Amino acid sequence: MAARWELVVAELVAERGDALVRYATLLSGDEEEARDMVQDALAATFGRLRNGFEVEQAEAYVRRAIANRFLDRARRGQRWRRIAPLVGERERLDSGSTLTGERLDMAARLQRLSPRERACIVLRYDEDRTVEQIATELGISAGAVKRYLSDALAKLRGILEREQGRLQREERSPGGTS
Amino acid sequence: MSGEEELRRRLQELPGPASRLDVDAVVERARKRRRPKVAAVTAAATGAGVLIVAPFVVPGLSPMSPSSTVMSDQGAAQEAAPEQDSSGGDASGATEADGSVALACAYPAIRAETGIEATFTDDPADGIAGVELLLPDEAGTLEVLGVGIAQVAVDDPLTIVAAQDLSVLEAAANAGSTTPGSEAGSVTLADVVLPDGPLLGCGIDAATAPAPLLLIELEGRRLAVVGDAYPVR
Repeated sequence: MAARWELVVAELVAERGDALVRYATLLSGDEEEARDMVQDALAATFGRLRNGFEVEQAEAYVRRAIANRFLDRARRGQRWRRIAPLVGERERLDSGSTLTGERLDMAARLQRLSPRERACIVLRYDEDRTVEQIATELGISAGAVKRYLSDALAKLRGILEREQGRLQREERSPGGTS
Repeated sequence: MSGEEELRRRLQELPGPASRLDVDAVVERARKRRRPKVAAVTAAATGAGVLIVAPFVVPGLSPMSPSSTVMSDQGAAQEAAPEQDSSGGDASGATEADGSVALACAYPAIRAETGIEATFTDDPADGIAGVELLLPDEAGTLEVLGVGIAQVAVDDPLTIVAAQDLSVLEAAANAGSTTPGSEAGSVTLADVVLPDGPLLGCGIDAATAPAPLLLIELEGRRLAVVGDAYPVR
């Protein structure tokens, strides 16, 4: 007979697995990497949780583990990203992605944010968390969350304005290129 | 981005994943992590693959030492029903605050108590870290039951500035998979997810560095001990 915690894992994966992978995908920008991250987080969380946990409580732990793993991987990859050409990030996002059009653009814009800015934006606007909840989940102060959100929104506005300006220039240009 | 609602709408329009998670793989990996983590302590001369060899030479603990006291009060009850506790990974200390602080500030150093050296292999600030154990020539069996964090004074690593409560450590039971190091007597616990419980301050104003706080079982005795400081740049 399966242990209680195994039933909770099965229920969590069945009911919330897609949402967890989607959350990790928004953070990492890559569904395959996100899937690995979620599997790691689930195995680590249920490898230490004792019995008596319900799905909702377990999901909160798994989400925190996903955020920790994402920020940890981002920190380890920081050195590489400093020297990698910017186009490398865009290519990685495009390859294998099923996103098209505006959705692809939105995913690409997220990848232009720093890891903590991205995590704050996803938690605030996709997961509808409060600033205090984000602070707890990421282990940073509420003030820092507000700062990351403010900086990220400013960056996203700037990216969108540049994209719109480029689009307008292309529309005015007879050949479609400027 | 024209507004926060627009951003919310665009994010929530992004589709879900194309394929599903493999729940059997998750359960199997979690099962492996839940097994007791036993690190074989073998000196080069004793040969590999033998878990229980000659006992450690462990300096005797004073009966009044904090770790001994803690174990007699709490450890036995938790040992008796290790899977009955429903408080989970972030359970805060159930003991009285003053007593917890006193105990957290007096964990003995693992090096002094056992001759074992223990250090984080990477910065634990992100909640995940490896722990390397360097074991003395004497062979024995060491079981790592849980890993947490203490902050020790940079100038005096034997001084604990802040540390997690024992109940946090007991609730975590988080020691990761063990990977034998390349040298005899070296064991690395890889990617240990550290518990979130708060650190109790000891009222000392000093520059600090993180050190692993370990709940171990050595020769049938449970100990909560502090390892060596991780070099913080």
